[in-house]
Amino acid sequence: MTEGPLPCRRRPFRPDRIMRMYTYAFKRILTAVTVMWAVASIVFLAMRLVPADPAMVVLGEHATAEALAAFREEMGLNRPLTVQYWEFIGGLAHGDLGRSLITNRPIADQIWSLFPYTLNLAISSTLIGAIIGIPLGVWAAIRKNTAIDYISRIVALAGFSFPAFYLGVLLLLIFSIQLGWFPVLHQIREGTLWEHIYKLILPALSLGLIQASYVTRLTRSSMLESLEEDWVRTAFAKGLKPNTVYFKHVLKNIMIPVITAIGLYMGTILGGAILTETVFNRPGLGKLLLGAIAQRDYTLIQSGLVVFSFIVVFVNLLVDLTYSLFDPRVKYE
Amino acid sequence: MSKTQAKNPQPEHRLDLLREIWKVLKHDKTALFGFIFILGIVAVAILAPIISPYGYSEQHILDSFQGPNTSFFLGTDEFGRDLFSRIIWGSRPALLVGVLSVLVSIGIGVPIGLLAGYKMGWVDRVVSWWVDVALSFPSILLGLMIVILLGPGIVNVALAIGISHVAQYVRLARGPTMAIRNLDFVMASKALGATDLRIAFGHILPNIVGPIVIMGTLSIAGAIRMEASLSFLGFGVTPPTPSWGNLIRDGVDNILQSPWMALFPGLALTFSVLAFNMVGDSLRDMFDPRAGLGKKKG
Amino acid sequence: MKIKGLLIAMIFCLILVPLKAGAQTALLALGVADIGTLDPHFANKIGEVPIIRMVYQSLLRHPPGEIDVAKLQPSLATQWEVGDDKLTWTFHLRKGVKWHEGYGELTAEDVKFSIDRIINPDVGSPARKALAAVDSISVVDPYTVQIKTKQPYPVLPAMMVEERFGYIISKKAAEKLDKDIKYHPVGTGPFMFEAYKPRESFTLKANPDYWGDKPKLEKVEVSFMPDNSTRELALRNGEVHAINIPAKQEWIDRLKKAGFTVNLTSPANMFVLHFNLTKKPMDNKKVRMALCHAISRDILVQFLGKDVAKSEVSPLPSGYVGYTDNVVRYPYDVAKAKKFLVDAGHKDGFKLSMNISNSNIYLPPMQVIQEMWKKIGVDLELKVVDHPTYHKLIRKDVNPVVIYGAYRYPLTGTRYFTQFYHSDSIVGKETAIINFSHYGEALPGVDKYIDDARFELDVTKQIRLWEAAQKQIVEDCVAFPLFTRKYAMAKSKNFDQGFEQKSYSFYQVTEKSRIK
Repeated sequence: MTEGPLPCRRRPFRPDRIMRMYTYAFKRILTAVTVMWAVASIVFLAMRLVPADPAMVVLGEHATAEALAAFREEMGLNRPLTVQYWEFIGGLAHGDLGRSLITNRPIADQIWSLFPYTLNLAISSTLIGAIIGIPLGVWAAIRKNTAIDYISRIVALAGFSFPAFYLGVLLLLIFSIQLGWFPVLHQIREGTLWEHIYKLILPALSLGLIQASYVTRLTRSSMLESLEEDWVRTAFAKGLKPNTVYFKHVLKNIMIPVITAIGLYMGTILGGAILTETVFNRPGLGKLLLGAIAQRDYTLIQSGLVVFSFIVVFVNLLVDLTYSLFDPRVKYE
Repeated sequence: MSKTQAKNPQPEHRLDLLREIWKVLKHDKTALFGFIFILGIVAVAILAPIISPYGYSEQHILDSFQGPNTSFFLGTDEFGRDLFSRIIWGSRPALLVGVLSVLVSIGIGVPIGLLAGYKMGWVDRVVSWWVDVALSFPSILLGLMIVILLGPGIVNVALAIGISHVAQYVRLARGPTMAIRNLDFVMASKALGATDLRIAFGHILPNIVGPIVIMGTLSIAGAIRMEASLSFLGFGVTPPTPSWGNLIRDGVDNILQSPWMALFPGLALTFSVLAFNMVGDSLRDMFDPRAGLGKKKG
Repeated sequence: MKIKGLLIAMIFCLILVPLKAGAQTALLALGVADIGTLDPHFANKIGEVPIIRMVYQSLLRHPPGEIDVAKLQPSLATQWEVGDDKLTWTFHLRKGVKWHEGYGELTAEDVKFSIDRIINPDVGSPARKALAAVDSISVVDPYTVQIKTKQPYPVLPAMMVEERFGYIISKKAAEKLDKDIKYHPVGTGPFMFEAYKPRESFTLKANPDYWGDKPKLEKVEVSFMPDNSTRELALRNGEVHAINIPAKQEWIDRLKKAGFTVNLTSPANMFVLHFNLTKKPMDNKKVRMALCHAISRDILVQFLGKDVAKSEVSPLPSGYVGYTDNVVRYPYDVAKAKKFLVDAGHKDGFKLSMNISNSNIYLPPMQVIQEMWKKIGVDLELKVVDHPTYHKLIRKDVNPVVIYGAYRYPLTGTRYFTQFYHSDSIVGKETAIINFSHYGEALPGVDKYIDDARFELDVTKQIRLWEAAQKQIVEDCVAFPLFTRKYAMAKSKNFDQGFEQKSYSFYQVTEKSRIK
């Protein structure tokens, strides 16, 4: 994500710069909103093209023609597409995700009740990724072309190659079924905070280890890049201890791009959560979405897809804005 | 998002791609290993009817859920089908989807990227906006959505995966094109009356073949993984065709009856993805030694 | 600094996740993602029916855990009789039965409201056709109702049971709750609604005003766990007391070995292949016969397991009133099957493509059949679709072959033959039910036998008609009966139902049930 030199000094804030920053933020938010609108529209359209009859899905195989017609009437499925479309978009704007076709309950409630589970998984995976990945990347960069660098490369490659869901299956096989250290059942029914964490460990590991390989690679390359900067050479020339240079200056300098990139991986993590939640039978947005697909609950699929994408857009926006705040080199185009 | 555009194009030395790749393979043991492994998988896929001891759908109902033994090397599934044979046959959808989907992505993405980068202006703005939209879907979700629309089946899965990665190729092609379009040799041919199409495909395309090949190799790895993911979720090939993803799924479904069922197809999957990543990674190092695998690969 | 922020955020999120406290409860887990409706006149899914049985009741009932028309017991009605005209049925209601949640006492008005609701086409209950014989229902006094049938209909009492066409609902509650009744059932049963968490669980509590014995259980919690392995593990870990399991031998053996009680219940679902006579090459009887001869029922039964499956030869399941096994057999014979194909002009076999449900009751057996047909050169492509889509597609007449599993209460020929083989029931027609083969139109069929048998009062004559229908259907080779497959469920030893579960798709919980 980074090109060009990384300066170690920050330019002083100037009023015109702040002004431009606001303009940039405004533009960036505007883009995000139009992207969200496009996403919502695409999902809406896609859901109308699906070849199954929602009424039949809900009322079951023995439903009579009258019952099917009544249901379509009730759910507004026989209204013109444009009316349905504007209602959907209008609802989204107000935070109203509509009602589930199958349960007729507000979708927002379901999503909010499951959101913490997925968020916990995403955040803890990201943490695991950072905790393993950053030190390993730094180490590999410092000891470039040594055994440790080589190992880090292999580990990273293996990490990219392991499908997270298969890693999940392996963890399940080894730690739950063979060793019995962790529950096979990750459905959270009741329990203490500790139990929640306990049931989070394997799913978070299966995503976090994969994440770690990305972070390792990124940290390593950012670090290597920084180490070639003039100011680093100067620092060494001035006789600073290597560890001081590495950890006090270089690491500090690369933290922003690394954390930014970690933030941008959120989309990948969320996508992976769908599979991980399936493997571990953990409740969450991914399971909700897959359940909705299996049940052909169109309104729920629609809103689920939209919410997933909104989260990604939102995280990206947040990361971009934060990044521009911290990194003075970003040009506000 | 536009921070990545400023990639250095290398119009000055057009690469003899094959020779360069060969050089990489010769010097980089990892890449060589990966390459040999890929050849191995391709051979297995081609020779599947010869080397698999049983037909992939051949049932032995009385021998269901066997553990690894002498007559069934890796055991059997619910229908008493030989898992070893099924894993061998599973290499076919993996490779097919891998290659096909990347061709779809390249076939759609690169021309659009070329067009956007070459024309600039509103075309570029529209395309860039669409790329932003597409990239804000996690690609597995986008793939899922497309496959729900198209229905299951190997070609549909390839299409779904291919389409869901188009944006990355648009982006890949657009940046360098923008940089190259104003270079002297392009200007010169334009002055000589070359058509836009000719310039785009004759002059600009050859200069971005390198990055496309690297990304393509890495995308195959990603596509194989995604095919497995979709099959795992039940959106892949139709039965009785085996795919590594649905074999893992079968294994998970029967994890209490025969835990080993999920193990082996997953290994085949992981090593194949690894092989493509090894080669792609080494190629990337050659073209652009400083870039890590940092960029997101769905 | 950032990391600290993330940590705080994470702990905050963990706190957001609700922490539940345990309770003394019967915990059941069902293999569904969620319930669709608990409206008793609509619901028929595995996740819904067990809940409904705890909440709602009917005028009469079967003994707990059984389906046996000969053993009807009083429930909300204490007595019933038919008038001399053989058309007027009088039911005397139990006095002092209270609706849940203060909706007052059960009266004849509620019964009339319920039956009217089922037979009202505007309501659209799928159970309407089952009560087609009912002409009208009237309130005699608050504790007496009369049902008039169009023709003499001796099985009427057997229809007033705990099935979709027999449940009594509260008029007041139905009017007040309106659509909410789908998720907030109000009945007269031993357990009443407490909480519903979509995609998670449904909780019931003991009804303190129950008219029968005081329920022994305080609560019943039904969890939705669509994944089979998850349910088994939940049972093994003691997290639940009872689960439904796939009816396959290895599941049964494994759970028995682990020390659980496994119950296999009937009436079993009868699985039949219906050939669509309007699709080539299914219009050719030789082709159909070839396909039949190529199927080994023994292998199918072996595949599912000897404890759960039984091969069937007649389109009416064995054990139903009117059943006969005196029909043409199409024994497994690959050579013969190939010969029929050659005779039909398909020397090299042919390609066939059908939609199939991803449900594990349909897909695996069809995969076994797919492999058998491969041996005679019939290349069957299975297009896997989700379960509801399958049901939609087969009713749209797109499949050349349909596999369908069902049982029909009461266990006689009437509903079975009418729904699958009467020409009025042909899919695509206005009056369509589930005649997938176009029997009765593409071929003369057995409409006459079915119509004559429907209102035949002489049981022996009725049975003769049904036997004739079976013979003709098999002779015409329009449908190939495969097997019946029982339901399977497992429970821990400490869950004492208070009776033995012999029927239904899942354990019933009554006032007698308890945790030991």
